[in-house]
Amino acid sequence: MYFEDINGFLDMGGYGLYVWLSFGSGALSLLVLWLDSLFSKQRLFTQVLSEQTRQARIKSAAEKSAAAEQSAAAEQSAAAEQSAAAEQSATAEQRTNGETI
Amino acid sequence: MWKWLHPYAKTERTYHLCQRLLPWFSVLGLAVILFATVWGLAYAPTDYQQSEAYRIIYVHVPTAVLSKSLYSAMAVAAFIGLVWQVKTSFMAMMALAPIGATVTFISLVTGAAWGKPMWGTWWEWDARLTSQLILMFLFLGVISLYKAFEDKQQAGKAAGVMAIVGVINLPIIHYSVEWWNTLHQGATILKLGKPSMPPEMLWPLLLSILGWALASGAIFLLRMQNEILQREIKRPWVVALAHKNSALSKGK
Repeated sequence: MYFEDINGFLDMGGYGLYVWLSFGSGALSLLVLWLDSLFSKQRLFTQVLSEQTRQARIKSAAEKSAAAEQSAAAEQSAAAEQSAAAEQSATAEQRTNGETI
Repeated sequence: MWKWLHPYAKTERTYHLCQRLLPWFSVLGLAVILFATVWGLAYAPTDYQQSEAYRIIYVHVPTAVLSKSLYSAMAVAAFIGLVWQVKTSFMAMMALAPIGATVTFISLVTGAAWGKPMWGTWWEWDARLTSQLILMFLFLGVISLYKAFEDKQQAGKAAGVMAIVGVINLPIIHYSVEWWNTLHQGATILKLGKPSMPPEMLWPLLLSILGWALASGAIFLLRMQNEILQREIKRPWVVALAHKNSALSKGK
């Protein structure tokens, strides 16, 4: 050890402020960059999964509306109003997804 | 001859290569930085002229050296991306830019903290300092230009051109201490002939440069993976990876 005691080490011959400011800012900046990179990796993984559930939701909504249309064609005369309602609800569901299919 | 490189144009392969290298770079980088910094701060002899203030060199010089190397690396990646239309090359460019901006920032802050006691001023509009500040703006410019485009292929091209044009700044930084009258001292290590430093001071400095380079490498690997994940968000292999990751974090 070059310095005699811990006070001499912290004082840095009177230049303590500048030396510790340099090393402190260097360490802090490096740490922030490193943590940002690590956290954005985790964030991206959750983003991948939420994108998957979103796609699944869109797909099931599309299937539902197709089924509603089919049933509407079958009982054309009797339940015309009902099918219209089903279609409407399907499109409403699509609208909540923010996506047109 | 260059055929072994071709598989790495595929992002999945590159991602897994990054994953394999990551622990080595992270652990070695942190260990070498810590070792070199403690050596430089506590064990290296004092300077006859600047006394203990010279110890700032052990963070200032590594970051300053790396800022230029990282810029060169980024420009090479941009060039490869533009000429051979390699998508992963633009990703490497964008992974390098924030690291370069950060080390350039550190070199400027530590330079200011060194300038205050030695020159009596935190900042001076002098050739070396100003050209280094421009280097930081170039890094930030490349990042913001890339973010300004919705189409990422287009974004890579635009940011790549900017990165390549900015290379002109590198020789200006390097020779600024010779071409102009400047407060900043001349080269100490990277010059012809013997370095003007005793080995007890030089060794921790060289080690700290190595440590900062390894740590930058580790962060680059991480950010490269992030770039890949972002671009390939709908690919099956990325989805499988995300499922594996969430299962792993739930198991803990």
